[in-house]
Amino acid sequence: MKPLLEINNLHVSFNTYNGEVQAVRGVNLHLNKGEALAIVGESGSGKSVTAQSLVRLIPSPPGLIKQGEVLFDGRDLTQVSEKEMFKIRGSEIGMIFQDPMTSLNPTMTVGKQIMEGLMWHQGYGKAQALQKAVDMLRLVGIPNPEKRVHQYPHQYSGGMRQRAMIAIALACNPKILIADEPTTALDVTIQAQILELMKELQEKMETAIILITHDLGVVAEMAQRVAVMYGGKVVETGTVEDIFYRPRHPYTWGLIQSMPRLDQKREEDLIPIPGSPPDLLDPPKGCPFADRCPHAMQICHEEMPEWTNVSDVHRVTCWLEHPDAPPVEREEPRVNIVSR
Amino acid sequence: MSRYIGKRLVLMLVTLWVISTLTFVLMHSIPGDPFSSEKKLPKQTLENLKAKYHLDEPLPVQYVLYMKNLVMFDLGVSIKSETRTVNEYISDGFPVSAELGAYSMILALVLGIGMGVLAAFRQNKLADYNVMVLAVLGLSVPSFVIAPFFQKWFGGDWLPLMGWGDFKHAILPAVALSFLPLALVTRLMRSSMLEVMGQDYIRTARSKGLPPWRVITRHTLRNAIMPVVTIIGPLAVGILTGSFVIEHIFSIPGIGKYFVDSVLNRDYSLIMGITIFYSALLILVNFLVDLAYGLIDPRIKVGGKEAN
Repeated sequence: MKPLLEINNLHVSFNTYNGEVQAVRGVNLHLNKGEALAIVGESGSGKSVTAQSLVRLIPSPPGLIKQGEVLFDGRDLTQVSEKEMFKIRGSEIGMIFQDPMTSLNPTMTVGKQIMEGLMWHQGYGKAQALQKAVDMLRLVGIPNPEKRVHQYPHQYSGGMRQRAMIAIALACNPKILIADEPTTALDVTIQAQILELMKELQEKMETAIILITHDLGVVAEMAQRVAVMYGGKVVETGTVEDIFYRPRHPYTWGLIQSMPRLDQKREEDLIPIPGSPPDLLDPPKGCPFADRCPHAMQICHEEMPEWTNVSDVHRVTCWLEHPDAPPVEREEPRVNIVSR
Repeated sequence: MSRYIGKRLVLMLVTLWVISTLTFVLMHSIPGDPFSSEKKLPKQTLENLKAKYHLDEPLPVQYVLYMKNLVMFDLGVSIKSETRTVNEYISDGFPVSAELGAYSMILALVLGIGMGVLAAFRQNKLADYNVMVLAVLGLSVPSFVIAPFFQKWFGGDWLPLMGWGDFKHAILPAVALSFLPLALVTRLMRSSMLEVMGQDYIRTARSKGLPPWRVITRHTLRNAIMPVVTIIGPLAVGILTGSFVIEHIFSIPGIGKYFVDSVLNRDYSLIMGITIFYSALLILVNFLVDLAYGLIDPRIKVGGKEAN
């Protein structure tokens, strides 16, 4: 099956006073129809930049897509005209962002912010758009939508605003929803509700989701497939089960180990990954994780490893996969995915 | 809402009373009186004159007398002219000053907002630099320096050098007068636009696929204009005080000239009258600005409880 979206060798850089920050360095990813793909990684790993580059929303300058292609619907989104991008954004690819408190225009009613996209993309009239906005608010679980549609964002709670954001993003029934840390700014009970809502809508509307997050709990809840990013590169990708139960890359391993567990004893410390991420002003030529990797070898610092196919969907870039690499003893992953 | 307006009106009257009392005290504490600069008058004449304007009475009595008349909107007779009332001066001069001030205000707001938006959009490009140079010029060069240059460059053949009459007469003074407010508005609008353009909700608007001009008109402008609305009050003050000078340079028969003369002559009733009139005007402008907040930003509910 041909994927819905294909990212090939994407490079994105930011020109700063100190030089060129290579935020994304050759990312390859694909997204199938209707699936939820999670991109995980720590701050500065390039996950948000990757997502925003898909729809060319990175501020430019200083941001610049240096090379690579983003294939969607037979077109390369890095090459199409800005005018064509206007038709794709919001209509075929919707987005929701991290902070619902600041992501809605404070001086415009929520209804108008939903209607805007409909009137612009689908040529809806005012009355028709208003009706659809009410329907969307009802769909995302806003009580009393007929009244709420005329209210301003400050009259909504945080969770309701994120619901409103989802209504805006999904109003034109896009094929892809990019959710950039959609639950980070919400408290835990609201997080669960929003995730539940996104899952429900994903099934109902058959929307594919790209979920950007650093919260592995969210990944377990939402995603079918996971891509782990580190230092501007994807280092491992596979199904949720692959990543949680059979991680191959030492970074993924570390991530899983550092997760707090419910059955953990209180006096047991969490296991952090020592060190700090690489400086992307001057990225290492080898594996970006080599400096922090407990199993790093000479070659890791010198050359980027090739991709190894562990299975059809489970792929990893690590020298430990090389036939000549010494065997490494690893603890059994100690995860339990608690479904919320 | 009506309760709020009522409350504000009372406060405005109190403010006005404080201003008029302070002016009254300050004015009378200046040495001399309206007749001290004249050629020596016979003692008897002087006493008669003083008696006519109640200047021989103790100060508190004068104050009470003045306030009594003020309540009935009677600002008295100009001591210097003897025949013209202060009300006449204001009704003669104010329409001219108001016209000039209105032109300057409109020019400053329209052009300032336009240039600010342009500069923000072309940040760190040629258009931005040009606009900012103009703005710094406007801030640092006083209008009484600019005005004579305007007269020299544009006055004479193209535009009338001075005087008042048709619209042509208003162009040079209005431009000169709007120089400082224009610079203020431009700078404020530019920085405010830049700030709003970096907000998350602008990214949301762009993620909906709206083209730039739609993002600006529907999302950026309304949020960025708040600071400009805020300074309309102080701006009006600037234009008012600026007009005293500009009216002098261009020989415009506005209220500003009378005001300056009245202070020099210690024309008590005229000083009081114009001060109170202008204070009332400014207080009113500030009140209207406060009401405008509520219209622009729904989060600011003027007065009443939040409508839920």
